[in-house]
Amino acid sequence: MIALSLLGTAAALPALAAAALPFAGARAVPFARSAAVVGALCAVAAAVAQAVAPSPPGLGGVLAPHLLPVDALSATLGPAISLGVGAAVVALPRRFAHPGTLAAMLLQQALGVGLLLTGSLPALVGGELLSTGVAIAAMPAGRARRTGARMLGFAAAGLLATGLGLAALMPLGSAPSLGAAAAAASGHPLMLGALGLVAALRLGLWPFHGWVTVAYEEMPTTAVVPLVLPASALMLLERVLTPALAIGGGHAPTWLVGLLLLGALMAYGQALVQTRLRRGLALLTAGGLSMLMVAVLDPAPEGVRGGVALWAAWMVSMAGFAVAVGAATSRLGVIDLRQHHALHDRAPRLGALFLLLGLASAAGPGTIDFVTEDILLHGSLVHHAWMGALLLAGVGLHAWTVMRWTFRVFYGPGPKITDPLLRMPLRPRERWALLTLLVLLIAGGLMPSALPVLAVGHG
Amino acid sequence: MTHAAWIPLLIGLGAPVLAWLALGASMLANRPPSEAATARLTAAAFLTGLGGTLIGILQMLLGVELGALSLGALVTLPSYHLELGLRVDALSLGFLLLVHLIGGVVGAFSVRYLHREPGYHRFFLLLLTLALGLQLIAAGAGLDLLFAGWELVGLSSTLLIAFFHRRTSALDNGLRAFAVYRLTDLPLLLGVVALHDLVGSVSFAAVDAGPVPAGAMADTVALLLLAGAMGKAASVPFSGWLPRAMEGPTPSSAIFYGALSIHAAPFLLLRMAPVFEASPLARGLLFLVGLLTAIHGSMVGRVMTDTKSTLAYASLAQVGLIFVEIALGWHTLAMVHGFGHASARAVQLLRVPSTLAERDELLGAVGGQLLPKGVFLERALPPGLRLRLYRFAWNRWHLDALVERGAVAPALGLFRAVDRLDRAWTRLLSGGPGPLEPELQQGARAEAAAQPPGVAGGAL
Repeated sequence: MIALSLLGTAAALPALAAAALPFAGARAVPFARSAAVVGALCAVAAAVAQAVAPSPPGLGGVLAPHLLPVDALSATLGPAISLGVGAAVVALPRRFAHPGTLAAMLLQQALGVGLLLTGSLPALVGGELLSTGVAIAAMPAGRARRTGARMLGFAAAGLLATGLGLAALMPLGSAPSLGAAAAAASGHPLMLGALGLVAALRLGLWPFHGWVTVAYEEMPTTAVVPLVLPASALMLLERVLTPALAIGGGHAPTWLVGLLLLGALMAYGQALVQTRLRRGLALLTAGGLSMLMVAVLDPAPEGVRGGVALWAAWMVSMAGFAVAVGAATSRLGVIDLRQHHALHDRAPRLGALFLLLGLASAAGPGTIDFVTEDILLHGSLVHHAWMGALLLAGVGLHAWTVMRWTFRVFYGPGPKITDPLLRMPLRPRERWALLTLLVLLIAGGLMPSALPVLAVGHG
Repeated sequence: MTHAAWIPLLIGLGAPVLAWLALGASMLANRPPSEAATARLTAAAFLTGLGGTLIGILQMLLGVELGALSLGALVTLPSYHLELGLRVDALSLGFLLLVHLIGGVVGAFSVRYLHREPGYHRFFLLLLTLALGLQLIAAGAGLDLLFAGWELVGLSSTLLIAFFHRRTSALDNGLRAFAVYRLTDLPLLLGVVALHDLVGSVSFAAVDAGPVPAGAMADTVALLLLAGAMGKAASVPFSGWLPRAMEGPTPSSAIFYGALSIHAAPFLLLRMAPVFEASPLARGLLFLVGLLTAIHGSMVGRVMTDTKSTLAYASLAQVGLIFVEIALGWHTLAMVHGFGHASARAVQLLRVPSTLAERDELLGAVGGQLLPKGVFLERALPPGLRLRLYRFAWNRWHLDALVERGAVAPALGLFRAVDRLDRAWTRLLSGGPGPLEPELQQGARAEAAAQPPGVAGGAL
């Protein structure tokens, strides 16, 4: 119960802070940052508590139908989501830290953790709808909100319809638990397809990534992190679709996995030829999300573990990379990748962290991402060599893109900066946020079994 | 064998890791040590590594079998196992000796060569990264650890090619080398997975344990590993990045493309020799690739006009010959050839910066001009053919153009076309008829207005 209480606090605290922000006045920014950090620490403490004293497999009392006990999935993803979003809140440049933006970021942090503990279908669908609404509201009025409202509106409508459809398939009078929803969906390929499509729309997978690119182009980069990277729509797959596939003894159709991998490859390829850094980042994100969906769709026990581990590692590394991109963008404005910007002379440590976090997100050796990609490759993909080739081609393009961006943004001819006033060193908040994520990624790479989902004995 | 026998070698292998951590952490904390301290740290790391390796060799000569050492499982799942382990034999100890010896020599050379260079500490950090990667390649107990080391070597190579980062040509060449590395890492990693299917494990012990079953799977694994090795060895058709890699500082050229990095590929092939034994097809292809690479290296090297490129292609020719030796099963010869060539070529490359001074000294000593001597077989060819061959060699067999036009340009063209469609699709969704760029520019101006004065203006 300790772990559950701590993870519950990690979800509740940012939500309460978001609600209290309008009353915080001039202290809103430090208040929000503190809430995000304490929330992240609670999530980490919950994972530690779960490792020391695992929660019982079932909950009793009035909570039972609605809440799940802390399991390997929530103990792994909770800290990852909370830390990633927390780092973005901490590193958000002050000029962009409006109460509305901060509230949206905190709400997404809360929902990202809270949905992990949700045990009933209405709560999961409701939480996801709320998360979608917050994402639309967080986008600036104009083109971004128009695009977001259209694409995410489709996703929300689909989500609602799929939720109602699942409820209709369940036996009358039964508790609307996620397990019952999975059992009800297992014999209905159309329902499973609808679930997958809704998740793809909500996540912003290629070719439905329009709202992700527009959000990255028109919002402060760091503020987009909580809207996109927690990928909470994957919970629909992890808790309903994948168990439904497992119940039916089947697996995701090969053509679907192939399409997802091809989509990832296209997104990574597009990222490589971009001339604007933030649009490129959006495409890298879309590619990564496709990879995640492939990983999560594997119903074999190994695949489930690998998928969750990959999800957590990707969340942390991409959040770190996005924060680094945000830091570079806040120094240079819109970055045209056709030119060299020589930022290394002004902010050398930012350059190092940009490269390291970017390569970590591309399965760089020595990081947890390397291990999780390896598990994915050794897992279900080993049965189809061409899938492995597509996956690796995508990862290769991702790494190439990161290296290209590093060279364009940080290196190249430029005036030698001798005046200290023209330097743009990392601010302490940025430094702590980026270093924390990097240290976690490397520590995870050296001790991957510290991840609850990869620990020996967890099912 | 007891674990105690491993202690000297473990200390030797750990020293570069600790030095790397110390230097990296101090640089990340914006507190780099003095040049002298960095030099001492690097020297201590390589000397300790050399000492540990020499003790390991002595133990081997005295009959103490070190074998394999497990440092614990990183991940253990029912059908997936990742273990941190070391395994040494004559091949790996020989390669470790080269790593620490040549690494130390290049480090000592660079202390003066790069004195007061802005990237002094960065160079040594990357040199230690290379050592780290090569140690993993040489002493890792399985292909998964070897692959991690392989990636570290590629990364440090790329960053050293782009060492003089104010030159755009250095950046472009670094990026090109990185692209080739990533492209050929793909088959290597697929080969790792396929090897797991073939022998049930990716550890070298499992590969060496018994005869690898011949057949289509063995062919597949061997061909994938060969493709991986071809990228690092810059063999035909991936040789285009090698002359470009000479953009880096001379010490890095010596250690990477003369000595160690380029010989990591023959090391991989020798390590996986049992798999190649089971695949006559892969051995045949290895022979062909080696032969073509040797011919390519010697032809192109003869028409290069700068010393570093000439030496790089000479290295390539020798590595091609080593490939041929491995294909013919002459493993000991290949090993000796590789170690000897790496040492000699590193010295040659390190002497490149003083070539002109040495030539002047020589001319002064002999008191006149040096006349070309030797047998020039090409003079026996008809002049027209000689000219054609010269052009063919000068254009490096048109391999760059072939790769560019045949693979890179179509792929990038496809991605650009998809991107145009994607933009149109997003425009349709956003309901705005206007193009994106003006809005993006507005966003840029808004962001620039929020910047402190004097900062964004200059940058934009």
